Parts: sequence; C-alpha cells; structure tokens
Amino acid sequence: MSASEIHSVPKSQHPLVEAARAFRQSWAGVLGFILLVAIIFMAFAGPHIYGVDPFEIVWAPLTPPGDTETAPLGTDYLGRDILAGLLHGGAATLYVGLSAGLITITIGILVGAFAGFYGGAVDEMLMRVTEFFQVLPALLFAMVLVTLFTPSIFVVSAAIGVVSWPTTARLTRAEFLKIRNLEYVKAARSIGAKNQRIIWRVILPNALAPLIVSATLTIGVAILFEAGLSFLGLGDPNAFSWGLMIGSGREHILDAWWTVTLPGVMIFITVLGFSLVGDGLNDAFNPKLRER
Amino acid sequence: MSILTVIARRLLHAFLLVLAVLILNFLLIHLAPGDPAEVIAGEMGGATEEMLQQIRETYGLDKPVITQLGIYLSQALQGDLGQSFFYNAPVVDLILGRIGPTILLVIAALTFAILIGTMLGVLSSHKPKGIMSGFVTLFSVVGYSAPIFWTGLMLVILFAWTFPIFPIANMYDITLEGGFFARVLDVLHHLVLPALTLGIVYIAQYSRLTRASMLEILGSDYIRTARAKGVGEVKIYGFHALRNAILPVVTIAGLQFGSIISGAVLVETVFSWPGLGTLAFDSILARDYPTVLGILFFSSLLVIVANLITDLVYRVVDPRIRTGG
Amino acid sequence: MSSLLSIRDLVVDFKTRAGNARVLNHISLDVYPGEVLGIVGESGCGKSMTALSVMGLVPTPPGKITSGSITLGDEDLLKVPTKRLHQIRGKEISMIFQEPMTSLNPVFRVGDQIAESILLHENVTKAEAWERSVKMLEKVGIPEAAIRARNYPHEMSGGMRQRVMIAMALACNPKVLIADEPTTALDVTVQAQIFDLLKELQQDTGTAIIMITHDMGAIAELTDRVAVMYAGHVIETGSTKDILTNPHHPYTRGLISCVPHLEKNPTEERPFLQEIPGVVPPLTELGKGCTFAPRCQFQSNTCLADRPDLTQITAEHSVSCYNLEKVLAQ
Repeated sequence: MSASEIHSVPKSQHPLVEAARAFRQSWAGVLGFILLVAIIFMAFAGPHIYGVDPFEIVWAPLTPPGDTETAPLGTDYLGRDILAGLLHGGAATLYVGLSAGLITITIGILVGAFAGFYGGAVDEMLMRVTEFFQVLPALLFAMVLVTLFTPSIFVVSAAIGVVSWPTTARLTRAEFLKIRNLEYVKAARSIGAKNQRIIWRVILPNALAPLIVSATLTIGVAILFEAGLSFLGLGDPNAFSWGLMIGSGREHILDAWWTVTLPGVMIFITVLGFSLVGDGLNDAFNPKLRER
Repeated sequence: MSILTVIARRLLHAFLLVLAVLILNFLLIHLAPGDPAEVIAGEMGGATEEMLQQIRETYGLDKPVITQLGIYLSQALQGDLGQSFFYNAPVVDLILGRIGPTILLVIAALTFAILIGTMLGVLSSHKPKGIMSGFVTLFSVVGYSAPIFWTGLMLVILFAWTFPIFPIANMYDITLEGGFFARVLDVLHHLVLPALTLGIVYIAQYSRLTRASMLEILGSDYIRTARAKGVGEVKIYGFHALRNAILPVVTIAGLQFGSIISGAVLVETVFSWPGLGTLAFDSILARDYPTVLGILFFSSLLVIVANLITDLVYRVVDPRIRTGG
Repeated sequence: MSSLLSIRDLVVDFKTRAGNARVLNHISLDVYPGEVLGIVGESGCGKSMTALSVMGLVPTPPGKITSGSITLGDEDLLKVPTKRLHQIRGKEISMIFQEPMTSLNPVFRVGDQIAESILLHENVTKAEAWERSVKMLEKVGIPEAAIRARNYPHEMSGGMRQRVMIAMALACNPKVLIADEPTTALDVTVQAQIFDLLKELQQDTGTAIIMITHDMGAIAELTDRVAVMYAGHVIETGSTKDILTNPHHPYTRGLISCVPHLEKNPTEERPFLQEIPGVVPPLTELGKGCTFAPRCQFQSNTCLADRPDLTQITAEHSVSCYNLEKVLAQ
C-alpha cells in the first residue's frame, strides 16, 4: 500500500452534520419541518398581514365560511372572525407549548440525571417521586393546579410542565445509567473531573440525541395539553389560543362545524409537525435503524 | 421469592402511593391562595361565616398543620373525603355514583386499542414496505397528533349528520323501555363512539409498537426454529410471534392507564358521558374543590390498581418474570 | 446406493448495498441414507446458506434462490407448494441451529414446543404428543424429563437447550437432520457431550445428518464424508478419511494444518501452527478466476483467468484445482 493510500482516510464529518444530512433523507422529518416553518410563519407574520382583532365582533354570529368577504372563514358564536382567531391563536398555542415543553424537559433532565448518575439512595428516592407523579392522571392534575391558581399563560405552562416531566426523567435516567460506566466517563474521572462536570459536560452531551427527539415530541404533547385545558375552559381567558376557540365553539358544533373543525386542524398540523420532526430526528440519530 | 411475598410487597407499595396522593391533596388545599376553609367551601358556594367555622372545626384548621394532616388522613382512610357544598352530598358518594361509567369507557377503549392495534400491527408486519404498513405508520402519526376531543367532535359531526347510526351523547336512552338485555345493548350502543374516540390514540400507538416488535421477533432465531419444524405462516404470525409481541403492549398499556383516564375526561365532556370526567368538569366550573380533589384521588387509585393488575398480567404472559422473581 | 437428498447446481444470490452477492455458486451435494455428511469452511463460505436452502428458509428478500434443484425422494423442494413444504419441514428434514440460547421460544414450555412438532406432523392427541415429547427428552439425556418438560427455556442451560432442540428435531423421525454448528456456542465439555449424543442417536435411528461446522475436530469425529466449501463453492469432497489424510485442494490442506495436533509425541519438535494468509474476498467482488487464487501460493495465470470445475480424481474424491501436481508435489 502506498503512503498516499494510507493517508486518504475518509473525511469524517461532525456528528451533527452527519445527522442533518440523514435528517434531510427522512421524508417525515422534512415534511414536519416544512409544516412547522409554515405554522410559525403564519403565527408570527399572519396577524400583521391580516390585521383583524380576534376578539372583535365583525359580522353576524355563526356565519359559515364564504358567506361574507369580511370574515372569509366565517364567524364564531359571538360573530368574531375565525380567520383572525386562527392567525392569532398560533402565537399563544406555540408559546405555551414551548414554555411548557421547556419546563418539562428541565425538570425531567435534572431528576433523571441525578438519579441515573448518583444511583443508590438518591436514585431510589427520585424514582419513587417520579413514580408518584406517574400515578396521577396528568390532565386531571393539571386541571386541579390550574383551577387552584388562577389560569394565566404562566400557570398553564407550569402546570403542564409539572405533570409531564416523568417521561423525560425516565429517559434521561436510562441514558445516564447506560453512559456512566463507559470508558470515556472513567477516563474523565481518572483525570480528576468533578461530578458536576461529568454530569453536564461529559455524560449529558452524549445523551443528547434521544433527549432532543423526546423534547420535540414533548412540545407536541404540551400543545395537546394546552388545547385540552383550553377546551375545558381552563386556559388563559385573555390568550386567544386554538384550544380556546374549540372550547367556545363546542356548544354550536352541530350548527357551525367550522368553529371547531378549523382550529382543530391547526392544532393537528402543528403537533403533526413536531411528531414528524421527532421521527426524522430519531432516524437521523440512529444510523443503525437506517440500514433496515 | 414466593408469589405471596411479591403480592404483599406490591400491596404495601400501592398503599404508600395512596397515602402520598392523599398528602398531595392536603398540600394542594393549603398551597392554594386564600383561606383553606374557603377553598374547601368552594369559591362559588357563597359560604357563610357559620359554614366556614364549621369547616374549620371539622378539619381542625386552627390546629398545627401536622395535626390537620393527621385529621385529613384518618378521615380519608375511613372513606370520608369531605362534603361537596355544591352538590350537597358526600364526595365519596358522588364519585362512587360516577366511577362505573368511567371504568366501562376506559376498559372498552383499551380493549378496542389492544385488539385493533395488535391486529393492525401484525397485518402490517407481514409486508414491512406494503400498503398496510404505510397505513399503520401514517395512522399512528395522525392518531397521535390529533387532539382527542377534536377527534371526538369530528366523529360527532360525522355521525350526527352523515351516518346517524350511533348516538352522539349520553350513556343511555332514558325513554327506552325494555328488559335488562335491551338496556345493556343500549349502553353498548352509546359506548361505541366515546370508546372509539378514546381508543384511536392508543390504536395508533399499539399498532406501531406491535409492528416494530413483530418485525424484530420475526427475524429471531426461535421463529426460524418454528418454521423449521413446519409451522405454517398464519400460526407463526398469529401465535408464535404475536405471543411475544404482545409483551411490550401489555407493559405500555399498563403505564398509560393514567393518560387514558386523562383522555377519558375530555371524551366524556365531548359525549356527555356521565362519568368522573364530566363530574370533574362540572365541579371545576363550580369551584367545588373537595369533589375535584376527590376525583384526583380516586382516579389515581384507579391507576394504582391498574398498575397492580398489569403487574400480575405480565407475570402470567411472560414466564421469564414469573420465575425470575 | 441412490442418494436421499440431492442438491444440484444450486445458485443463491443476495442483494446487498455493495451489489449482488452470489452466496452459493452452482453447489452440488448428495446425502446418502444413514450417513453423516460434513460441510466445512470459514464463516461466510455458504455452508449455513446451503442448509437454509434445503429447509426453504433463505430470507427472501434480500436472498433469492436463482436456479438449481434440491430433490428429496422424487420431489423438488424448490418447486413443491408451500403447504407440502410445511409438511416436509420437521417431518422429513429437520434442523438444529447454532444458538440454543435464542432458538427456543421464550414464552412456551419446552415440552409444548416439542409436542407442537409432533402434533403438526402426526395424527395424535395432545396428551400423546406430550408423552412422546417427554420420551424424546429422556432420549436426549435430560434427567427428570417429565419435570423438565414443564420448564421454560430460560430455566435451562445452553447445553440443555441444545438437547431440547435435538429432541424437537428428531421427534418425528426425520430422514435428514441438518445440524448447523450445533456446538459453537457451547462450552468445550458440553460440546463433546452433544457430539456423543448426536453420534449415538444417529446410530440408533439411522437418520442421515448434515453436519455443518468450521471445526475439523468435529469433522474427524463425526462424519463419514466431507464437503469443503470456500466463497460459495464446493472445492473438494470425499470420504472423511481421504480428506483428512490426503487433502488435495490447497485450501483444504491449509484448513487441516490449522488444527493443532495434541496427540503427537510431545517430545517431538512440532511444526508451527499454520495459517492461511489473507481473508475470504467479498462475495460481491469475485473475479472470473478461482475464488481461492488470491490467497493461494500455487496461483498461476490459469487460476486467475478461469474457475476450475469440481473434477473427480477417484470414485469418491473430487476437487477443483488446476495445479494439483504442484500441490501434491509439495
């Protein structure tokens, strides 16, 4: 073998670059990404392009779509513009979804990381707590929390976070258990790295792939949660979200399908976007699955 | 470890969880902003000072917190979760009157989900790249992403106008005359749409899960052994492989019982199903906290019991657990 | 004597990412009643694929039986309807596998797994099938068979499980038993027990055995005849004695000199353990010539240009090599 051959080692890309390339090959991921970009654009640019206030009464109540140019997608039971609601509702829904997702993931990673890293009594105690939270039906628990503390965007996000972290915690713990005995962790220890450094700088980065996938799905679930709470009339009454639209249209479902169907479609597309991106990321991070 | 020790341990564990839920309930009353007595009376009750005084006495609200906790726990363990001032009835009675329909709904939905889900999963595992498989993948993503109450409402629209074959609200027809059998049929008829709605999410998940485990199992050595001894394909899929593929479904179904109850709250509200969910909805609107907290407690109890049952079922279906202790 | 099972010109292709891999290239083999035929070769030479082809268990896709025939009696196993194939598997031909730990279904009792085989192929009641499966367990040397039959696989050791596999395979008195590296995953002491058991059962029942292995020791101990495979080809066949004492193909000679000889006089100066230089070429990149040529010390231009046919040198002994004189002269 000649010297040049020996040195022509294939260029290895940064793992994230490799993952991004794999992600582009997953039709689910790409479709989800497109959906999300469209939804985010709509939620943030939409209200500026279509400047109607969603709370304003613009036409006769329960006007079907297409009947008037003033409200192209019809009006709700008070005569408010559905299109304006759809455009404004995105921001509130995404905001709650993202902040609730963030709270969920933060609690979950903290609990899971400590349980998985320290093991023993710490693990036992934290897992008991996790188990306890899993016994409480999440939506009911969130309903109770929201009712006890007056509903606001923050309370709703916090309640969703408080009820949904156990899944992330279990996942994080499992990853930490797997990684904590690997050679590179021992190596880090042997050069005197402190526990905190090992947890956050050595193990966590290596557990990130499944956690990112899970975070994506968590945001989708949080959006569904917000929608459910709003549907039950427990959302922030001042935040015009899609769930709120469905909740207020519920009584009129048999006379005015559009008041319920359209915001539901928006929620569906958004959550679908997050799940598909999650699927795509999962494929991208698991090269072994791709071989199949 | 003998099976009795295992059961005793589980029961103790379950009891501790029950205790923990009660303590949480107690904490929630005290963490809520405002006077606990008013929280218990309910904001919409328009409680009189006399009533509040009575509540303070019953719950010992002037005593130290730890004594209050003791009073609360001992009452709860004796089956007294307080009085609903909104309904003017003991909370426990209210809940026991509504828990049956919820259990029925949840079990029907789970049965739907497990039967249809595993069936779809097995069928689609036959051709991993076929149409059926694509359908399962699509359905699982779609079923997962649609808000459950919205799916329910869509079914209501569909079955109210287009195919009026299933009732879209309530649990039975109060005008119906007929014997026991006719009534049972009537309830089942009313059950179809709510159970289907609640089941769809899980049908989606279980079909995907079954498909994945079937694909893995079908490539395993013991399936090759079964083929080598002349077992036909139908039996390979429906018996040898499915029997193993069902294990993760059982685990997941047990773990998800809490989320199914959450879903039931929404589904009941959509279909006016007279269970714990509609009771929770109504009592939350009425700010009737004793009832709300009672429902939280009882539904957690359902989850705890379901987990115990799952544990036992798993011991039956997986011999490795049974003897492994 | 006419053969029991006869493989003719069998070609099996696998589609891989790197291209088409011809894992079996015009294989012909015969199995005679009551004999033990050994198939020997390195991993990936096609010996397991030969067995799976006979069983009709080639994973399709990616695999595909491209051409050839496998006849048992007067039936071509590659042409019989699926239903008939299911009747043949387990009844006429059965197979035991390399991995006893994973080859039994974890959720069924071992007795039931054996009984299932009997119920599938014979007109007996469940109780009778269970009785027979207990008897089979006794026969393969499992103590307290009636109790053991009620065990689940995870309650047994690897050696025990392989005995269960053997009991299952022999439950319906098959004409041919294929044993695919039945001892590779087991401890050395257990290996010897399993070999003894197979030998004993073979003498008892007269079932013909196809013994697939990479272990020349097992070949010497168990088999009557041997086929040596390399990269999807049969390169030499003959009686075990001939092959071991008078190997002709350079590859076979290499294989045999790879085995350490313990029985030799310890005081005598022993030759170094030999190795065959190089590795088996990827099956997607086989050239036109002899597949062993790249590793062969006797390689000539003819070898690289064209593949030698399997040629008879005596009534029983065939070999595919162009340079036999040179090889034998060494």
